[in-house]
Amino acid sequence: MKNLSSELIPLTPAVFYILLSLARGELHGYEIMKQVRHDTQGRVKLGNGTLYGSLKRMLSDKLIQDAGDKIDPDNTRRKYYKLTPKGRKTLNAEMKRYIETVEIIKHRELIPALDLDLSL
Amino acid sequence: MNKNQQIELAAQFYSLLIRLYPKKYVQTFHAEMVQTFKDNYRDLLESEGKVGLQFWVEFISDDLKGIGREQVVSFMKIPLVLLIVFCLLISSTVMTIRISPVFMVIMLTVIVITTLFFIKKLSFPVRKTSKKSAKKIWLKHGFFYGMLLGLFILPMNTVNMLTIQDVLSYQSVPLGILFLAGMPLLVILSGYTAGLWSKDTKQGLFSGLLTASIGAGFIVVSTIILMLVWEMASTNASSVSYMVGSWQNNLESTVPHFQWSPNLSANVVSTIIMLIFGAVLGAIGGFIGKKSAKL
Repeated sequence: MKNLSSELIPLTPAVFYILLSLARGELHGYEIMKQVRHDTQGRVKLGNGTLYGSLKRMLSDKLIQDAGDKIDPDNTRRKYYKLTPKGRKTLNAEMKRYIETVEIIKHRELIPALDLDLSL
Repeated sequence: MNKNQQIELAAQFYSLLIRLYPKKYVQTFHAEMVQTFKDNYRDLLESEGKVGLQFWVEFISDDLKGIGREQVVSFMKIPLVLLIVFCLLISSTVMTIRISPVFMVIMLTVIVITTLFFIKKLSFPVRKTSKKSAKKIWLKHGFFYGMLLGLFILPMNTVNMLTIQDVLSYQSVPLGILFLAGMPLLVILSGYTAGLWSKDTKQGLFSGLLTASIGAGFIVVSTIILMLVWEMASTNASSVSYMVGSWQNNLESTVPHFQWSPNLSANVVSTIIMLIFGAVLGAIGGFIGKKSAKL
């Protein structure tokens, strides 16, 4: 039987980075936005339209769930999101796919040819 | 104006923009989206001292894309029965073109506005696509839009063939515009939705081609049906004085030939155009859908 989480693979960049940001814990919308920008060194900037469109589909696919409203130190109520077990499995499957792709690139010795700088 | 007032004012403007999303989406995400906007705005104001045009351009353009995408998704969730009723209403109204083109245009406007109002006001249940059938998604979408196209073509073809043909008449213009705009729109929408759900341009191409093929099928079938009722149609044509008058001004030798010749030519041309452009428009729709799915 096909693994449920693998049906959603490959993920779109927005969904992948949102899952990656939520892997560190519960976050609200703006925190997700900042985390994605940080994780991608500013290469992926999620606007509200892309962020909430992705969150909507991820909620519907049960990759994430509502973690409830919290009152933050600035006295503002914000909604938090967290990964579901399916979301974590999907993230793991996608990361595995990325690692396998990197292995192929290494194996074929494509990195020097492409002149990639992999240092972070 | 202090910092907080500036943030509130910007948020009020942004709040108006996001009301353009579908109603259900606004109900779910409005407060969050405004809060995220405020957080973003405040951060930028504190770190850079001002909020530039680039921030607004980036935010608004992303939301405009989101509004377009969500409105299409919302449209797809409308129950099939409502779409059929809508198409029947449109088709019946198109039939009134021979009575009064002005009346037809007014009625079409009223129907479209009323339908959009209902779509905006009502929250329709989600029509989910089974993941198991993801590989054959083009079949479902192609068939769905093909049937809609058929419902659109059938009465139009009937009215055109059973009434007097006068291609130069201003009365034919709205009908022509409806057909020329409606067919590509439905085919490209078919390709777009198939591409959006399957993330595959090829499925968009197949879906568009299927939609166009079903549309062409409707043209052929309705022509055959009309041939069966031809006797009645020709009797009607020859008994109406203005039809006879128009025939006499034409170069055709007989009334039946006068009626059939241009109609059949138009049908053949329409069918060929639909089949050729179905694949092209479907592929374009599929490509756009695939790109939209990646956002």
